[in-house]
Amino acid sequence: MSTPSEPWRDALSAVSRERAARAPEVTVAELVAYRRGRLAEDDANRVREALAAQASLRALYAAVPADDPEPVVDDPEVDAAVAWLREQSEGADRVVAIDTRRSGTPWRTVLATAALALVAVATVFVFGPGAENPRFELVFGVQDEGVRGGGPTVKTIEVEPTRPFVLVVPDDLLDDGSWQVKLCGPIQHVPNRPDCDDPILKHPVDAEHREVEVGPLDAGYYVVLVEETEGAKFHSMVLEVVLDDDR
Amino acid sequence: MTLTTIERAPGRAEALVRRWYQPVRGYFRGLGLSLDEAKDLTQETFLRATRAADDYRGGLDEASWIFTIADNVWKNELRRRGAQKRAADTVSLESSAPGDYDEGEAWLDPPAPAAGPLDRALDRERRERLESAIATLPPRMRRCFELRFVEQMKYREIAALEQVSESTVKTQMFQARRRLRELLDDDSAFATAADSRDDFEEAM
Repeated sequence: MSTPSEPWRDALSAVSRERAARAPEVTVAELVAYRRGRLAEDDANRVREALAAQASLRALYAAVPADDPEPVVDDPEVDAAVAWLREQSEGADRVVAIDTRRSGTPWRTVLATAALALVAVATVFVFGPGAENPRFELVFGVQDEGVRGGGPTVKTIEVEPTRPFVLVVPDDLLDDGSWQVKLCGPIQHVPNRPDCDDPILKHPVDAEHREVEVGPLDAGYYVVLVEETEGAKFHSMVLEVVLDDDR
Repeated sequence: MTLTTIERAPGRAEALVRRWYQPVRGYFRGLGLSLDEAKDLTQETFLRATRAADDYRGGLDEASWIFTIADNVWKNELRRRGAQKRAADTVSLESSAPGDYDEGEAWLDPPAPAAGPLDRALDRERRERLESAIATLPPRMRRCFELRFVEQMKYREIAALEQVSESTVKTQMFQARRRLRELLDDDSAFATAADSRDDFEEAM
């Protein structure tokens, strides 16, 4: 392939670096959706711009298969990874050994099923619905109710990279109507207008059910909108998500 | 499959590894890591995944979830490498023996010859002209051009990214070159390259 002369290549590289700095934010979920043809055209174009600008995103795109792959068996490297993870899991045997290469005798199936049931019960008991994910109460400025103006309220939370968390809508925010929480982002900066036109999450809430489970999320700023589903009232704020990688 | 399924059936953890080990390792390899480095980060990804699966009750599909974790593992690795590099730089500077260099001599690699004011002005002008010209291209044409000339990607790779046919990419490239040639025709270096026979044939 012929290429532009060296000075022009330098200029192209400089243009490329500047473009990378302005690349749109794209989540992994959006990239996967684009890979699988499930993204609206506007969002797809945003992903294309990000892909053109970021080499690491292109590596991710290349790695995502078009469909969920079948489990791999008879691969020593994968077998070794499974064995290693089994050693790492602490006591709960969360990586349960099921040899998918063998059909197994009935008694083995029965034993395996029993073992699975036991671990499942233990898992639900220890880590199930009763387990407490981190909870964060949202904070809304009073000027937000139906009025856009002033800067958005920003709340910073620190979360684990792979663990979900719970957002709690303040109890004095919701009246008897029907409400929903919308989450948009991530974006790099606090937005001037906390709009949320393309939510990554929508969840109904009311005075009795004010909790919304979220995540895991990438680091960045997210617009949180609490709006009446059949009315004009809404409240908005900005959530800054910081990842705590040490936990 | 949703993650709720993983959470409720711990045995799915092994299936998770068996399904996603190779794509995740491929991701790390695609970032330019060695095989051993890629294996290490892949194992780290699944360690986090199996620990988090018990807690997760979100709405992400499995591919998005596992690659989000992989992406976070990579970001952590970048931060760790950055911290190591900063530490190494500090050690290197502190451990350099005085007297190895004449006083005032640079102890790092000799700097490249500094561009003169005229060179800098020409570089800046060239970049601005190029940027302006590229900015006039329609988005897809611009992306195809940049991926081809800046990133040195093959047509089929660009087509895969854009989710269009290879012939569409070639057409976009051909038109991009024609437009840029018109805009930059007084720069013989670029015009010559863009006009070259090989490139023209490849574009067709």
